[in-house]
Amino acid sequence: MNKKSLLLILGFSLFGVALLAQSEEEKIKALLNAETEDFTKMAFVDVVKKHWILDDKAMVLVTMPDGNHVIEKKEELLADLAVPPAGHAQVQKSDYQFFINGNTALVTFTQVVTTEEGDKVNSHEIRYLEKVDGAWKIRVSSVHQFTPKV
Amino acid sequence: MALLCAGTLFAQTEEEKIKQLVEAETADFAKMSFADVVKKHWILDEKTVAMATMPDGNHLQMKKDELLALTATPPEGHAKVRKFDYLFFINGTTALVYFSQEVSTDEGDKVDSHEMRYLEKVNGEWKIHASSVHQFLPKG
Repeated sequence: MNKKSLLLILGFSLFGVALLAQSEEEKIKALLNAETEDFTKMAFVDVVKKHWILDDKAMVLVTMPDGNHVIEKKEELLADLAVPPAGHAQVQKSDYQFFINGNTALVTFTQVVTTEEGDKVNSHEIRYLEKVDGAWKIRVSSVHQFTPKV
Repeated sequence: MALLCAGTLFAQTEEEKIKQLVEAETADFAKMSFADVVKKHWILDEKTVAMATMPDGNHLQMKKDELLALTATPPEGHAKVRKFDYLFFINGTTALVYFSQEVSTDEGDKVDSHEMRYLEKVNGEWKIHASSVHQFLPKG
């Protein structure tokens, strides 16, 4: 094998590794997208069991567009057994900001959910995550839903 | 020994330092413009963000430039603020803190909130980088 072929193979190998190696930001995005997707087909309790750290500090804060506010801790999250109705809402996440410090991270993002009926729900969201056995898990969530100003 | 005891008594834990910052930020809101409060207590860069939803559902998201544009000084008042139910998630030089808050004005109005701050240590001092405020009317 000549030197040129060797360099070419090495170059392709490095490119392949770079493509396969997900950055921490990409891993966090993948978790958030997986959590959102699971919400459309699983009970809330199953979603949190799969993607969350469930201890006495686990917490969800949500305020709806009408101002109705809910705070749920572990016990309330584990009591949410209702399975969502089948639907094909489209979810778009954007404007990610990451604050990563080793095995903890805060991420903020904007979300727009559009239902088949054309209804839209916008939100500004925060997740606080921790890495457990190499996998990011959610520990705290803050969801500010709002009606966009025209 | 006495010196060691005194040292222990005066040594603030990271949780106490964070509580002190959060309470100082609240106290300053009553006497300074928002712009001056964030200049004093926040890290101001392109990631800085403050999210707040009011009891009527009105929602604001403000980044650095919007925060620095809030130059109006608050009216004088004597609201009482109580913070409780603190939860801390500290990882070296970063921390998330959650707390509940009750504000009562002299006129008897009350606003409750569940709040979070994300903090980072800069030159040994905690500063706020992101904030989430969910205000709501007390039930009952």
